[in-house]
Amino acid sequence: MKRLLSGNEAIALGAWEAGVRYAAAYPGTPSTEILPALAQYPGVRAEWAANEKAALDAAAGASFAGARALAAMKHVGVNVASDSLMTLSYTGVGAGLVLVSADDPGAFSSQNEQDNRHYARFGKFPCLEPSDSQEAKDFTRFAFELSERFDTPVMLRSTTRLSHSKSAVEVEMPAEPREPGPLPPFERKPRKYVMIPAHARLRHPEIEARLQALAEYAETCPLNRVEWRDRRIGVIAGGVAYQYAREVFAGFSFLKLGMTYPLPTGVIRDFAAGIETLVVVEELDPFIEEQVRALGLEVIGKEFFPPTGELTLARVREGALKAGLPVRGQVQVSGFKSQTEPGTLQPETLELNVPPRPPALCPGCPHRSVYFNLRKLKLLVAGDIGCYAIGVLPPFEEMDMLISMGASIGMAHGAKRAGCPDKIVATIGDSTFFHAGLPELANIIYNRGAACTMILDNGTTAMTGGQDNPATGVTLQGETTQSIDIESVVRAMGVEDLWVVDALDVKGVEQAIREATAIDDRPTVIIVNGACVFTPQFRRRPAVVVDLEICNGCGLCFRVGCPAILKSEEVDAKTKRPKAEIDPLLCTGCTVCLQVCPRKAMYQTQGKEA
Amino acid sequence: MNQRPPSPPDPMELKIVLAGLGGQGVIFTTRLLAQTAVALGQPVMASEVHGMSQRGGSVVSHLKIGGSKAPLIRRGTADLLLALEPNEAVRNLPFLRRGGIAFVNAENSLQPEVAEHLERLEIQVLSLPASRMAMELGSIAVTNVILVGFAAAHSSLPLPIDTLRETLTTMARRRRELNLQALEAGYRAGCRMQEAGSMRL
Repeated sequence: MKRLLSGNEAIALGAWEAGVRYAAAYPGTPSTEILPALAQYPGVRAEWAANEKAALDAAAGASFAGARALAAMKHVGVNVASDSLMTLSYTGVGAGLVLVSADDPGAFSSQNEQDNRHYARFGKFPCLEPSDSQEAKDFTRFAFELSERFDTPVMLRSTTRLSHSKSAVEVEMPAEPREPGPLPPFERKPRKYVMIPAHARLRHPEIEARLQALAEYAETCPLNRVEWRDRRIGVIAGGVAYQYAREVFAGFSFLKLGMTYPLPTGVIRDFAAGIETLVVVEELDPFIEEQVRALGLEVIGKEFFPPTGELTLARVREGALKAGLPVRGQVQVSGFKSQTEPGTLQPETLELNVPPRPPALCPGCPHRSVYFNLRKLKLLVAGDIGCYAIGVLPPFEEMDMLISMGASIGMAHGAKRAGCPDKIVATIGDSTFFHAGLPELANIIYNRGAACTMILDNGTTAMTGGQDNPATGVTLQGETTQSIDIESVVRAMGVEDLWVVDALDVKGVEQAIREATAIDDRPTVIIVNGACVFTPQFRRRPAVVVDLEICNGCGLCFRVGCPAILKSEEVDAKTKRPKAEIDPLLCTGCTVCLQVCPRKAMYQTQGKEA
Repeated sequence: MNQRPPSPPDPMELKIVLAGLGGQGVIFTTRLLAQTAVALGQPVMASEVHGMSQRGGSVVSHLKIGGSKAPLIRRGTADLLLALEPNEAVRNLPFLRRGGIAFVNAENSLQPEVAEHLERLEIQVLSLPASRMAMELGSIAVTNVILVGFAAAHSSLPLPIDTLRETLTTMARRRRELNLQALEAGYRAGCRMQEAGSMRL
């Protein structure tokens, strides 16, 4: 049976077919959908972890205990988990352990576009790169076997394009439902699992030997294959880049790499000897290319296929043309049948200039009043990872630093401690607070810092589509659980200067910020409560309407940056500026604009709640 | 009577760009077309192109039916554009090839400044007030399904309305009847337009 699956859904299916018993992840684009897909299958315990390290640690424990386990995360999440990952390479595994790293070339939803294949070389474990959904499923299954055969964690590297593209996958439904039996008692192996220095020194040579064995295995690994066609050009490619290259270099020879670390050097030498011009097409860094060059082979690579941004058919094609390579140009003739001819013809296209739609906070978003006030008070803002990063964009333009999960508090503290004269506020969401904010808050309290931390609690992990977290009281598998109360946590850490405010009370938020930032000799915390519009807790209220008789087009409401507030056709006679109007379908009745309007030209419609 | 197994479908090669705003159902629409193609035995590659996703932002997906496994569609090569919003239609027009067709949810035709370009590349824009029709049916949420029905009435989208209906029946768990009505309404509107001669084949 064939089913249409995204790469992420296929990874989940492959893991399930492999008999995975435990899986954990912290949500992060483009990896997020793997765990919810796994949670649907029977016999798997699937969890949202508080952060990526917690996810990998739990997967490691499961593996040591004899259960096949998987941890999934976005590329920068691996940085968080890397402390454990580097040493997991030394311990090896009990049952198969697979780390899914979903990279984001093009940084569609990330703070950088790092290439995580380097982790495989850094940590000396294998890296598999599928190039479509079918391979995503097959390679994931294979990864568990590889992990056990070589006693190593295995990294399955996806990218945004693979994770989020859907193609048909052959699904084999098991004959009978799988009932996982109890695990045997834990097999104690302290020299393998307890990495004190003496044990680590003993393990290191074994890891080098394992890498050697993996490199030999790579020569016959079924995930790597040579496709002999026209031998004037030979292309080495893996992952989604292979698909682009196959279209651009249709008809030429390929070495398709499914395992991109360690590389099959013998296969590469033989391939290079069998063709005239060697080309490497890979996304981001010259990871394969540099290793191929180290073999003394000449290769066309990153000088033509850029290391920045996502590759596309167009970019691969453009690179090929610049490199003077013959490529196949598809010329549409009629209907859907296309005729393939060699050549350099660029498709005709329209040149239209349409302004982009910048990301904006949703109508009703609880972060709106925060950034409106921060802007009004002209404070320095250290931001964090989440929807509230939109605070850096117009109309707020009220964020001065942002690097990674939890960093807002630390950056605010450091800037202040070093003597920065400005008043500084850190803004961090609830999920991010539990991910990496806790130690940072402990740090600022311990070191008698003086910045204000604003915890924007919207009751969900909003940016990635609304996943539960330690504060929401629900697990990934839908059970009710302890909801960790942020206010109690902050109080327990000894913060006495604490404000708890309603996000939709614009004046209340302003008042709290004014009072908190007036204190400059100890850390303060403001918890801003307001449900994300995508949570069940959110209550939509009657839409706000503009009285065009009273509105004089002052434009202040435009500065709350709400997509529901539009410039109307009507222009005020005196100010010569367009009056405001509100899209009743988009408006959620949060009334932030109404509270901000100096002329009281807005009112809330009565009537039943939508 | 002699029972013959159905002959395998002709391989198609079709590139479709779907565009709209967050919340309009671009992803659902893509799945509807993709699943229908899979049901017809066609290979499919569907890619969502979304950035920092949020309500009201641009959402685009690229759908290739018929063999290509490279996820994205190159500008100037798409056969069809389905746009749920006029501005998103204009933003994505450059994906269409010469002679391509855009099905657009819009009350009026697109901005006049675009017309000259469209004429030069012989691109046809077919507009339908799908949002208004959806409201009349009872929910703005089925705008996307109306537009699919509309496109299915045109020969350039070789997905039979019956197969689309079957796929939609399995996909729309909530409000199935409303969705099927919407598909029908769009399809009938497309057929009427063809009869009236305002939609070329």
